[in-house]
Amino acid sequence: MKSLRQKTLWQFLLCTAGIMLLATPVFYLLTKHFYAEDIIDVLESMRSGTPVPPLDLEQDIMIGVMLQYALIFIVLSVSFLLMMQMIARKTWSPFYDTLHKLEHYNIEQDESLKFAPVKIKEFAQLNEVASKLISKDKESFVAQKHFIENASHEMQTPIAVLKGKLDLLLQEELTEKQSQLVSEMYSVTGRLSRLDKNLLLLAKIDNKQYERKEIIDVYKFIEERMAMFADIKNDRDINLVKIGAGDCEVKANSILLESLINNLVVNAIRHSKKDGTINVFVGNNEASVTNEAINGKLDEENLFKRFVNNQDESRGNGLGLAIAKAVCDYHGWKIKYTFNNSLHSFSVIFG
Amino acid sequence: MKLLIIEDEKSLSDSIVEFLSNESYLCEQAFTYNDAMMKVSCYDYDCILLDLMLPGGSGLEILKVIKNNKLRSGVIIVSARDSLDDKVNGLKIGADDYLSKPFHLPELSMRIYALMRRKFFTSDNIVESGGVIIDLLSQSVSAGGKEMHLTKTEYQLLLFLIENKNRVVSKSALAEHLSGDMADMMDDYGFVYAHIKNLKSKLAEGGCEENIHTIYGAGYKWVG
Repeated sequence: MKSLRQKTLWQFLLCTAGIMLLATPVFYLLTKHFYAEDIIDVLESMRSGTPVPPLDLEQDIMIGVMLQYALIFIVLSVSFLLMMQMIARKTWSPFYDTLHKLEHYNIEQDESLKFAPVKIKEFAQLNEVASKLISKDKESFVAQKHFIENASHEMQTPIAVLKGKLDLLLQEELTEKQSQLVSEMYSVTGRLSRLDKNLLLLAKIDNKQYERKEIIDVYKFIEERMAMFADIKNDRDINLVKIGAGDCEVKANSILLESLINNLVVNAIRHSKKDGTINVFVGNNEASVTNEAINGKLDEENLFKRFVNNQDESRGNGLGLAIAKAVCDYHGWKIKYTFNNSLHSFSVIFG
Repeated sequence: MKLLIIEDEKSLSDSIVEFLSNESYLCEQAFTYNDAMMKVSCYDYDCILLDLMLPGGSGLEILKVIKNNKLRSGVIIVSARDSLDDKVNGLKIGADDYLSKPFHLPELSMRIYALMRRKFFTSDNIVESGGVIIDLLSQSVSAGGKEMHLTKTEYQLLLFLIENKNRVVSKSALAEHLSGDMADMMDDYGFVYAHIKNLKSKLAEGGCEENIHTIYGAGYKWVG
């Protein structure tokens, strides 16, 4: 394996030698018409017996040297330029390849980086170091993702214990005050449980554990869940509307699609004006959920971020919309928030 | 009725035993894989609650042994591994039901009831308590001799309360039973209150509304 310095030097020398060889006729002509001109004249006059013509040796040498300098300069320049342009591009191509790969590497999606084998020492070193760095990063990234998944799993049993003990406690003869306390504990335990399930869901999406996909008719899918939404909506109205003649069929994981729709609809129920109407539209290759706002526009920038609570959410754990976004990203769909005429609207464009 | 609870978390296992103790169940506990294997291969149980992650081995292996040897036992998988594959595999091998942690004890109790009824009293599809008669096959309900027209939700609510009779069932457990994961997303369990109110007013027609006791807003109890 050669170092970059050696390789460049060799290339330069070879290039120069090659061009020198190519320039041989030019040097030949130069020598013949300047240095050797007078000798040829003398030889010619001796052979024919005519008197020797006037010689301009000094002048010829001066012009010859100048021309020679110029020729050598041109040869060197050309070989240098050639080396820089053509050969160097080839020599440096592994470097640009590495640079390109590093630039476009996405730790969340790509496998670890693979480089083609190279013959230059420095580039081989660079690739090795970059590979090591990335595989270490990838390792800790994967470890972190699995840690979240495992931690969420581990928490399920203690939460189950907590729920069980509360169920037992409720069987005792409780005073009103005690019942109130138990009730609040139930509420918090429910939140904890939900938070844990959401974390687990996100981790599983990140870990690509929802490979199973099927063709689903979104309208039918939502229609089947309307009764459940109706169960929890209290005094709000929910309308399911289908627009456009085309059907909205998507290839999706049904658990994730359900989670997306539940999150959007329940979110709308929770943040809807009392007695407000919630509209669920299904159109050509898109679906949206709209509800009447209590307050103004939401902070679009942080809306889909994990744990960035906006406004006065008392109960939302800040993961609902992050999950909706993750589900959309996972399937390659787009999710969009708009605020018009006091209406919050979340729309998903499938595909 | 003999029950085996295979669960490595002793505290949870004890809670289950205590909650089910006022039923006519005889509960036994197993805390490890080997312990469970031994009990499963030596004794006969009517119902087995099975945790999939056990110290010493996988619950799915135990399930295979149960299914290979004793087809009579009903098996409910109770697992923290809330993955679809586990559920599918478990049910494929022969589990009768699947409940993912964390769950409410009244929910578990009801699942055991339902399973036992399916397995052992196939001819008896009538549930009766405090003047209310539920025909599980036709899903028809009568109170005080009068036919009642309940919505699907009210029917589920009534059945859940009756199958946990004389026990207090929390609003949270009811909400989860009715709407699964969505229950936790709501700000409160107000919708449970609304459905209970409707159910009570329908029960009042047959004079049975007093069967539902409200425990200071924390939960409800069916007395029958």
